[in-house]
Amino acid sequence: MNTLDSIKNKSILDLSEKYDFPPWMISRYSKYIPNLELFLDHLNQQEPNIYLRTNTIKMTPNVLCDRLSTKGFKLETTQLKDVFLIKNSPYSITSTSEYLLGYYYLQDLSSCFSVEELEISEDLSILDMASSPGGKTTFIAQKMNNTGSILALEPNRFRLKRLFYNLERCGVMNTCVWNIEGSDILNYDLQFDRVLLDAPCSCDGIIQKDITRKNTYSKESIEKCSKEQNILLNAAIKVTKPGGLIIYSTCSLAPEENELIINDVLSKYQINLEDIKYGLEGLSEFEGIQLHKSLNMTKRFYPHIHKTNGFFIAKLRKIA
Amino acid sequence: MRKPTRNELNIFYKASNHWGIFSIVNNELILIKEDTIKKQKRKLLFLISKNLENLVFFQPTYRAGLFLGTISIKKFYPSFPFFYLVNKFGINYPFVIINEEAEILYLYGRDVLGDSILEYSSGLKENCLAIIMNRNKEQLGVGRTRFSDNGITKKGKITLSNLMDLGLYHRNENKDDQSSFDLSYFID
Repeated sequence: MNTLDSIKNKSILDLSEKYDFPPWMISRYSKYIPNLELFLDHLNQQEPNIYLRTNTIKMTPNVLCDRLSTKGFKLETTQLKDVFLIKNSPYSITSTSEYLLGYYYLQDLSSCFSVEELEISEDLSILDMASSPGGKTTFIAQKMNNTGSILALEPNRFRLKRLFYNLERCGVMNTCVWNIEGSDILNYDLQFDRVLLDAPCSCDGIIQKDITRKNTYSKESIEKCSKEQNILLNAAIKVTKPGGLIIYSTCSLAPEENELIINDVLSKYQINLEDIKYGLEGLSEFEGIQLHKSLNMTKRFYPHIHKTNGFFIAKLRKIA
Repeated sequence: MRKPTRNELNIFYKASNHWGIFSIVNNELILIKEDTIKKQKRKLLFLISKNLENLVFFQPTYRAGLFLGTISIKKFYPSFPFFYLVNKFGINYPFVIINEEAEILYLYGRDVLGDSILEYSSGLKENCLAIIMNRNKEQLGVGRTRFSDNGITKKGKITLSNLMDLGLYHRNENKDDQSSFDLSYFID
């Protein structure tokens, strides 16, 4: 081991001890997270930001803002007009009548960006491949003004309950929910204008909100998830109409679940990456592997920079 | 999902007529999904938009469109979305408007005191279903009157029983396997 390596190892061990993260995670993060110490500081010390999205099927952002303000909630605008950052809550934000009436949905801003990039208009056919608990599905529905059709897939019967509750609460009428694995969509002769794949992932992007993720996060979980993500994305591309869009997103920061998955399909299908307005550029290299040059069009979101969950979004256009 | 029988459709239309939304649902596609909830077989009714027609008849369909309620042998039990339609489009339906304090208590499952009633529909009968609304005329749930319109505002008395309120979802989260509520859970 040379001097440089030993200094690096010492600093990894120091950070690991200081922030109570396993050394292997610190070592990984040092390869792809900008301002690592700031990131770890942020996770340890800052309360996660909570955002709410106005459900425009039932309510307008201005009226909602006024109503919640009179109840003592302090909201701040964001880059998206329907989404607000909750700066102050006198009591639980899910205990208001407005929440029960389906006037808003608690959803991270990063997650809203993925739907924003789906270029939604009325009367499209949209597939949501891993839909529960329904945040993105309900956002898609409101962007379509409850027209067109959404097919929402969810394999887990227990999670279906939560999904259907949210669809019902938000007044969504244009959605059909199927109880199947995302990849099983290939068994049906269907094609869609838009496909959203918010893939199941190792979820290290939400460690700030759910500290138990620190213990469940492992090299094995990354490997397991990336295999599943690969299968799902291949299916997503196959069921997209030519000219259609696929949004791939995860709440993981691991390149194996993000850029490497996209890199793999770019060489297999006639698809192009398209630019996304928000976030920092995706990685173009990881562990000595040079990735496709267009991967800088994918976007990453970091808690300490964007004040959101750790998140990744790729926007793919199917050519043929 | 399947199409309802003539008998099932008649039961539903009769209820829609009672609540003043027959003209809204009359020409729409209504489908039934048979499901086992709380170990009981139930026929769930859905209002399906035209664009969903090519998806709903596939076997993996769990739910689709707007959940309207369930049908038992001879009765239709409406759901929250059904009452949402009534609130939005219905005519001459029974309702009661309650004040802000009662709204909070009601959403936690409490009954309504006569003192907290601000307004009610004319001709309200005793022991009938009424939509409970807040001052903004937003539907909070459904109750059963304990008095007719003469006594509904009696001070210090509970004049409306809470049958089903929007807070139910929260209170029953993780308790059982149902994803939606309708009156069949609360009325025999």
